[in-house]
Parts: sequence; C-alpha cells; structure tokens
Amino acid sequence: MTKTDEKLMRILCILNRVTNIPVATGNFILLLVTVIVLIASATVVAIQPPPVEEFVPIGELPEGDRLPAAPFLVSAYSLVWIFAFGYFWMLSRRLSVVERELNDLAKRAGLDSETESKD
Amino acid sequence: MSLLILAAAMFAAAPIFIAYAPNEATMGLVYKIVYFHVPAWFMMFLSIFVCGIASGIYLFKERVSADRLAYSAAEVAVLFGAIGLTTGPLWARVSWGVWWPWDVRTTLALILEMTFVAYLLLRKYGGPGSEKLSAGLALFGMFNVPFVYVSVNVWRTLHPQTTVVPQLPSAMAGPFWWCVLAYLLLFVVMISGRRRLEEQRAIVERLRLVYDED
Repeated sequence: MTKTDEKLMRILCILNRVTNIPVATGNFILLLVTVIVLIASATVVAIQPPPVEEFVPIGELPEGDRLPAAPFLVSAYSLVWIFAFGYFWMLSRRLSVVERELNDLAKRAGLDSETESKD
Repeated sequence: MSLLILAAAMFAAAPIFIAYAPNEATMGLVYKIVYFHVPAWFMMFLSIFVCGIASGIYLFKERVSADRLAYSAAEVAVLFGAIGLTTGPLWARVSWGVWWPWDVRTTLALILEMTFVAYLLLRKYGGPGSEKLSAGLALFGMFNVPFVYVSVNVWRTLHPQTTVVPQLPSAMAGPFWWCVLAYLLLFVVMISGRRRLEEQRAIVERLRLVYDED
C-alpha cells in the first residue's frame, strides 16, 4: 500500500468515525462525487458559447460587444507577479525546512562525536 | 539574489516600455498580453528542453546531478506553463469571445502541461525507480514540443502563427525582447534555486542513511 493509499484510507476511516458510514459506502460516495465532478466539468465545457465562425476585428465590433481590454492586460501582468512570488515563497520555505534538517543532523553528529570521545 | 533583483526590476519596468509600444491594428490593447504570454511559453519550452536533455543524460550515463537538474527544470516548466495557460485565456476572451477554444494549439499546450504535472506526481508518489520512469516521460514531453510549436502552421486554428514574433515591428520587438530577457533571468534564478534545494535534500538523505546504518 502506497503512502497515498494510506492517507486515503485514513481519511475514509475518519469520515467513517464522524459520519458512521462504512468504508465501502465511503468508497462508493467518493466514486459518485468523482463522477458528478466529471459530468459537471463536461457540462461547463459544453455550454461555452460557440466560437465565431469568421474572424471579426475588434475595431469592427459594435460598442456593446467589446470588452474593456485594460483589466485583462493588468490581470495578465499581475498573474506573472503572483506566480513568480508564490513560487519563490514556496521555494524559500522548502529550503528553510531542508536547512533546518541539515542543522539538526549536524548537531546530532556533533553530539555523537562528543559522546564517542568521552567513551 | 542580484539576478532576482535584476529580473524583478526588469518586470517592474516592462509596463513602461509596453505602454509606449503601439497597439496591434485588429486586436487593439489586449494584444499587449503577448508581452507576458509568449515569453512564458518560450521559457516553458526552454525548461522542457533542459529537463529532456538532462533526463537523457541521466538515463544513458546515469549521472545523478543530471536527474536533479531535470527534476528542477520540470517544476519550472510547469510554472511557466501555468503562466501561459492563464494569460492565454485572458487574451482569448477579449479577442475571440471565448475563454478557451479547444483548437489544436491550446489542446496540445494543455497536454504538454499535464505531461509535466504527471512527471512531478510520478517523482513525488512513484516510489523507488520513479526517476527512470519520469526521465522517459520527460523525453516524451520534449519530443512533443516541436508539434506544439508548429501546430498553428499545420492545422487550421484561431491562434496566431509562429511568423508573428519574427515579423514584429521594432517598436513592438523592443518591449517583447525586454520581457523575454526578464523571463530568462527569472528562469535562471528559479532553476538554480530549485537545484540547490535538490542538492540539500540529497545531502540530508545521505546523512540519514549514514545514521540509520550506525
């Protein structure tokens, strides 16, 4: 059993304890939810407005059909900052965790060598 | 750190150059998303090539350092792919009227992104031996890049063709290549930071093994 399976089983057991639903029923509910999510996603994709058949330049569209472009442009620029900032934040967090582990191991090594020298 | 500051400064200055660049005749202001969207894909392709080549070296020469570089590049590729996949629909909504047209370019780009998400999932949950499996997957992903790139020229699609960037007039090419350079700096900083993390992790693993043996 992989770690993910174990985690999934633990979640199902907690659900079982909280809701009194047996694990098999829990599995069935999980499957049902997955199917519903898939159907809902397919429906969302299906109800998209059909793309225009011929290319119409934005300048030729009636005023009411035009979308203001500036918020979209600003959103695109902001997204780049958000993704970059988010990634560096995540990276620095992971680096600090690993460096802490390294320091712990180094301290342990120091203690071990001290004990050995006393012996 | 200095490269990161330089990249941030270049990104901060980019809107000034972009504001002075002329609007495209048919799409208007929204076309300026090209300055953030296309360089993101350039960097994704670059990351994928780094990942694919490093994976090939790991598979055939068994160099662990190449595997670490491949892992780092795959993560950065997913990040730049995410930027491309989110900025693209913003452009599409205004110029095509839909957030996401299921045409060849967009679908292939999404599949490419999912390939590298699969790579990361395989590395995280695949257990022992997943390094070689994921290296194979990275090679598959790398060979898909040319198909994604030429898809706009081969199939009928709404997406602009690959001739757009080489034909940009100088007033648009300046800000465009400025943004490409800023993204390139970001790519270098991200890859080196991510690689450092992998190296530190390897040291921790090695030390743990030594303690476990004792």
